[in-house]
Amino acid sequence: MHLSTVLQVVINGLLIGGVYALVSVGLTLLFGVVDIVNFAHGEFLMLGMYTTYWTWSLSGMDPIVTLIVSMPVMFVVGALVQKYLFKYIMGAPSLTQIFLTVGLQFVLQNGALMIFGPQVHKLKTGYSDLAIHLGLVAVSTPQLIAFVITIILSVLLFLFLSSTDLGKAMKASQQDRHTAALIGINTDRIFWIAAGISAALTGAAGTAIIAYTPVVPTAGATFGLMAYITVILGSLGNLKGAVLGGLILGLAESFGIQFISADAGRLLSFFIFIVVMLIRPQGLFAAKESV
Amino acid sequence: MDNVKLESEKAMTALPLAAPPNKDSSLAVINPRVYMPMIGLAVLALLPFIVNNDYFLNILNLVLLFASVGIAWNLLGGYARQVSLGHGIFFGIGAYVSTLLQINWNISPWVGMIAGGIVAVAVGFIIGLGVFRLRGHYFAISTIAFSTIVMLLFVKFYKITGGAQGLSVPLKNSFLMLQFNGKLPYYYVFLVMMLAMIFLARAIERSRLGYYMVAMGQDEQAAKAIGINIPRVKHTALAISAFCTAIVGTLYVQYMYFVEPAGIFSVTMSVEFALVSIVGGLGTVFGPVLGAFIMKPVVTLTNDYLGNVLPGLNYTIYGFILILVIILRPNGLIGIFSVSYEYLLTRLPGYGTDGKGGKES
Repeated sequence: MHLSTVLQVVINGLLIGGVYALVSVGLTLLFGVVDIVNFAHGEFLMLGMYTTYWTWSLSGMDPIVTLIVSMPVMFVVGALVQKYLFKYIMGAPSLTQIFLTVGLQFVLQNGALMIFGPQVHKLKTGYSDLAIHLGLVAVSTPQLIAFVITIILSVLLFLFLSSTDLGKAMKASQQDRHTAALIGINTDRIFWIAAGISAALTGAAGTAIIAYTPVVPTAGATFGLMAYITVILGSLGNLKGAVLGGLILGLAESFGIQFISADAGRLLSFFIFIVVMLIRPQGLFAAKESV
Repeated sequence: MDNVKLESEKAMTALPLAAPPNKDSSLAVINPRVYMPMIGLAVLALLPFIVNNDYFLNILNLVLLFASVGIAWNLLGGYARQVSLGHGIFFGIGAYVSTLLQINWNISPWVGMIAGGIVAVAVGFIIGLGVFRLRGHYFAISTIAFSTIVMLLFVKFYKITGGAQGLSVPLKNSFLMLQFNGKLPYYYVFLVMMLAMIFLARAIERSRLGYYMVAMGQDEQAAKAIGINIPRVKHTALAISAFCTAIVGTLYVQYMYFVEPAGIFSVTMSVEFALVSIVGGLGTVFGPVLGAFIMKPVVTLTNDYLGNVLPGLNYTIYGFILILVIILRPNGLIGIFSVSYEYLLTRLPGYGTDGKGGKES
């Protein structure tokens, strides 16, 4: 096998994994701060895609610029869900949390089907089919743009958590919500802000992938599934773990597509996940470690 | 079954908590506690003639299938609180094993369902080794990972499994091949199966194993501390649950005539098994039955009558019911149901002829 093939597979893997990372960062942040695993998380990505699609087709702005719409919209969605739904199941047994959020998943996915219809929307831009050739390998332009968005947003999130007062308060609530409340942090407010950020990041992932992913009501399901695997692999609540876990699973998928078959590439990702669970049931990193 | 019975008798002597069997001679047919279940059974037996319509009969058949698989899931997910989102694996194995045996060797599904059950138990054992060390979200998500792996393997090894296109059951209309003309005979086969599942669940609920499962589900550390062999209880519960799920899987494919990996191993399928128990009542014998009788008709009827106008309305309603039940009645709807049933009993002639007015179980 040529070096160029390996390089190409690695690059494809990182490009896939970057999107998994961004979706997973939102999911693991929500778990870290609010202590809920949201099984409707993939549906937030789907809603982000629809927001971008409709903004693009109504205003004609470049799909990437629609981030200024999709992120605030999804922030509001996430905050509302926290205030009016998740609030009631904080601290409930995992079974309750799983099935309430599964119920939300049913509602969002099928509500989208009801409102937007089953048609597959494809968004075409000037760069949808372009690729950049770098010596031995080719990088698809829309995937590269998605990857860059992922990096920028992840860095911004880490900066926000480590250097703003609100971010520090969020980290404090993540480490110990009772003590955080004792020292005067309004934890309820922190919870809905965290849920909003979680949904906004995931909505942004939806915007990022729209140039190469068809928009349908079920578009979020696969990404949701990969995000659950990713956050467990990287230890629930650990942001760095989610980023690295996403990249690992993206690479595994890319190698799987190359060496197993195009339709069963994820076998390798899931296999790695199971092996890690057998050896380190707590995930690759420490759970809920600070940023 | 024999084992279960023995266990159950042991439990009655060992655990005074177990409800003693009502062998009172005064417990005669005139008591509503006796004749109401009989009337219920008679209604179920005559229901196809009351509705007398293929469309509703089909819904009833699906209700019975999902009630049965719900009971099977409930053994592990409800009593033992090991929330599996991968039971589609066992369901699919039941469907695939019996179908493959028919296609390749012309073996009857009556035999195939047992073979499927055994394969499901073996696969379940391997999966259990992996997931039983995990708790909560980690456990649930790992079971999803396993069902995705199984689905991808079925797609990958298409020469054996038929791949993504799926398999069709060869048409051979005969009782020996578990195939019937029309939907009516299926109704009775499914009804018998559901009753068998109910009796099995009841027997397990009152057995030593059942108490172990419930104790472990409530507090694993405490259960371990009083000497319960946790891995063994988990594996036994999974084996029984997987076997029963696979049997229903065979019946399902004999009714639908078709199986494909993307459908049967999907998370949605596994979630549906769990939902009938959650809506009805976790860790109760009749919870999954009630859940199936509520959820399946709601989904099918809204889809058939409003699906053209509003596609997706059925599962949106489904999701709303689930959210409302979890927030308002976290123990499921069986609570309301059994309270009304108890009240109804007190109003019926012959109430109290067994010399006691209180609750039985």
